[in-house]
Amino acid sequence: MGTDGPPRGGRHLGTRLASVVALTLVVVGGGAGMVAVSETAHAYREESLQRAAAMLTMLAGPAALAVAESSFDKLDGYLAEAVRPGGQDVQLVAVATFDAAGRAVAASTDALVPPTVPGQRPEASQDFVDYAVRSPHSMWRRVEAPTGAHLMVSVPAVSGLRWGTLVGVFDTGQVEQRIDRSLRSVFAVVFVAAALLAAVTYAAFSRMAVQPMQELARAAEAIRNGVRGVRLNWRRNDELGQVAASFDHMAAEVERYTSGLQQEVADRSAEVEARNRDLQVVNAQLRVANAELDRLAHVDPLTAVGNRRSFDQLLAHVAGHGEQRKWALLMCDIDHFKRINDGWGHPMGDLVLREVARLLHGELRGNDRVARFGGEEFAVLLDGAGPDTAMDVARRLVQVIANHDFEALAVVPLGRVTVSIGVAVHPDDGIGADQLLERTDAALYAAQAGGRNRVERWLREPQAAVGGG
Amino acid sequence: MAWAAVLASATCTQPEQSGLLTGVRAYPPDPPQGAVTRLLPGDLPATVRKLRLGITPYTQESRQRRDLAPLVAYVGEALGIEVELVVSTSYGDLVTEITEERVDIALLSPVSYVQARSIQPALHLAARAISQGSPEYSSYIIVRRDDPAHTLGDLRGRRMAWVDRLSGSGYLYPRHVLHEAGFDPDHLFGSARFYGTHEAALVALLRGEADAAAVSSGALNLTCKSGEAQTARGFRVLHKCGKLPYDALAVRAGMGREALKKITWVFQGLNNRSERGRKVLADTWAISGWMPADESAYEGVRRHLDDMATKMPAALPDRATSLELPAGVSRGD
Repeated sequence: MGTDGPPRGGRHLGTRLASVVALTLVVVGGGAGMVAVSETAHAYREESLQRAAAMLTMLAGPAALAVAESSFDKLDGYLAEAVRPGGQDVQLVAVATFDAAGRAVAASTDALVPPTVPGQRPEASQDFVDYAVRSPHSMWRRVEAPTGAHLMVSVPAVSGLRWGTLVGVFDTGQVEQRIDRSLRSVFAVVFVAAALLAAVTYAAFSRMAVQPMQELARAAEAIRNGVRGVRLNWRRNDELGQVAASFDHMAAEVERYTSGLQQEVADRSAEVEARNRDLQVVNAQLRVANAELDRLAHVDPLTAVGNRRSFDQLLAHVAGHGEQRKWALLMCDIDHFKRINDGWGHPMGDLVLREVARLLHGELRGNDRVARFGGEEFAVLLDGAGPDTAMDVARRLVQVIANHDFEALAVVPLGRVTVSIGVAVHPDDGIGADQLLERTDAALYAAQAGGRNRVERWLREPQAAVGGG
Repeated sequence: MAWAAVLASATCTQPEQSGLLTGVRAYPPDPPQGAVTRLLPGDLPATVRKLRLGITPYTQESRQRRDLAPLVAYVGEALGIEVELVVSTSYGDLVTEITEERVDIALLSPVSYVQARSIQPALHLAARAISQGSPEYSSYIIVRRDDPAHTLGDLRGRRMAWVDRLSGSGYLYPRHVLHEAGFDPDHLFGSARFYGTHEAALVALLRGEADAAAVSSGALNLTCKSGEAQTARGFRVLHKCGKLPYDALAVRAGMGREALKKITWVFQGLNNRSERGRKVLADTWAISGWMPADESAYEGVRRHLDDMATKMPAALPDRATSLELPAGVSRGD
């Protein structure tokens, strides 16, 4: 259950913040760094320009004197000496002195041409020289050449009067390298600082916010999973603390509510169980009552043998087995029963009925059934019996009843109680329950007509009774 | 991505490509030349037919006149008036001549100028000289190269060659230095003579007639250049005694404003930068030209002299007296 749900956001949040911090630092630091580098570059270049100008100015004094006196050999030597490499940032590579008319009168090179940036032609410097010679100011110009960064500077050669102009070409490659290096170190510093600060921010934020939030997420999940007693119990003054306090409060509320519900459910369940138990009792009672009812529905209350309804059902059931099935139906009628009822009263009549039923029931075996078919009529079903068996049983029944001492159970002299029995056999005497009933009835009638206390089997035509006794 | 940013910022750091350097003096434009410098009838009083140009002696007069003839001719032509060269007998002499208006223009040594100015405040300063390319020169006490003296104290009892009582580099400044160093300039040396010119003092030193000389750096340079190679190797600077501006071009008080202006133009426009100028100045005693000047140029000299006046009043006579010249050196022809 805890596998789906909201994604783990804590880690991503920390990473995102670290990225934002790093990016901000890179942008801000990079921007500041670039401003700083730009300023530094400007300062370096300005300084290198000042130094170049200072170097030329130092040469300008003697140059002025030399031009004023027209003594150029020493100046030539001076200038040649000045361009010797000295390992400086700003290295003079070529210099020449021009008189007031703009003619070169001394130079560091063999040819008295304007000093040139290495790799360029002398003509490229000519316009600068032309400006410089005419201008009362010191001038400078940067030249980017394949051989590197160079600086052309001019300084008026003054000694009282402006005697001429000194023009020099300086190699400032070292300065540019220094600027590049400082640029790179600025960026390195900025990136390192950004990375460090991002890491620090990530760690700090992780500790301050991400881990608490992960804990919060886990607690929420625990509650989802039904764990009880989940409380954060943070003592923090900030927003996370408020969230935690609300969370704890809500968790308590939820638990309280859930407990209440559970209690109610338990109560209701108990109630339901009690009801169930009652129901079960009632059901048992009902079953008992039903059984009783069933029994009552199928049992004759007086004689305790089956009643008409049950016999009809039985008959239908047996008859349903088909035309081939062998069974026999006996209809027994207590002879002159009305006389007993009239003579001795209904209670005596009941007694006789009961006894007769008992006796009938006692003589029957296995699948045989006896039922009280009417007021004094009993039906007997002999399942699987053929004609002979049926007649035998019928005769025995008549005999048993005739021989039974009924007076023993009554205080009054009952005399003899006898029955008449009509017999019909299936399928010999008929097919189906209705036919058998009808023919058994007919046979009973025949038996009664034949003098009672006897058995008569159905015959197609009414005939004289076979049995006797 | 990082290097792209580097490149991007490298372009951001591209500088301006050219410009002017700040903190540079602007030089005054060259003065007008040509017809504008000619004196017009109203510039000078009608009675004035020529201008007298006074100069201090630095060598034999005949040679000096020969050397300066082109200059005189040039100035006359530019101004459109006759110019007469007047060679004074001494530094002090020239001061008197300009203050008493016996010359119209004078090329005065710095001390002479300060003195003249103090006598005649209305004196005009038209320009100052540049010699051998420099507007300033130094005062030296020099000895022969192989002389054992190495400090001022080593000159005790030796023979000193001065130039002139009014010479800044040739007397006054070195004397002040000796005084400041704790020596008594009048009694340190065994003997002291005034030779009248820097060249004469140098010759005396070289010949062994003196052991030390006070001269200007300019004179020393010139002598070493024009003399024999021997001469060039013959001297050594014992002590430096300060810097002075070169000679002042003074115009007498009372010169009309237009005339003064044109005289200024003519001299300030004459220098070694032009072919013509080089020719004119070729034989002068290494004058390279003239530059604009104001009083502040000679202020240092004035203060120095005031200082000396309070400390060594005996050093500063009102006027120079006669000179003693070394044997073989004459002033006139």
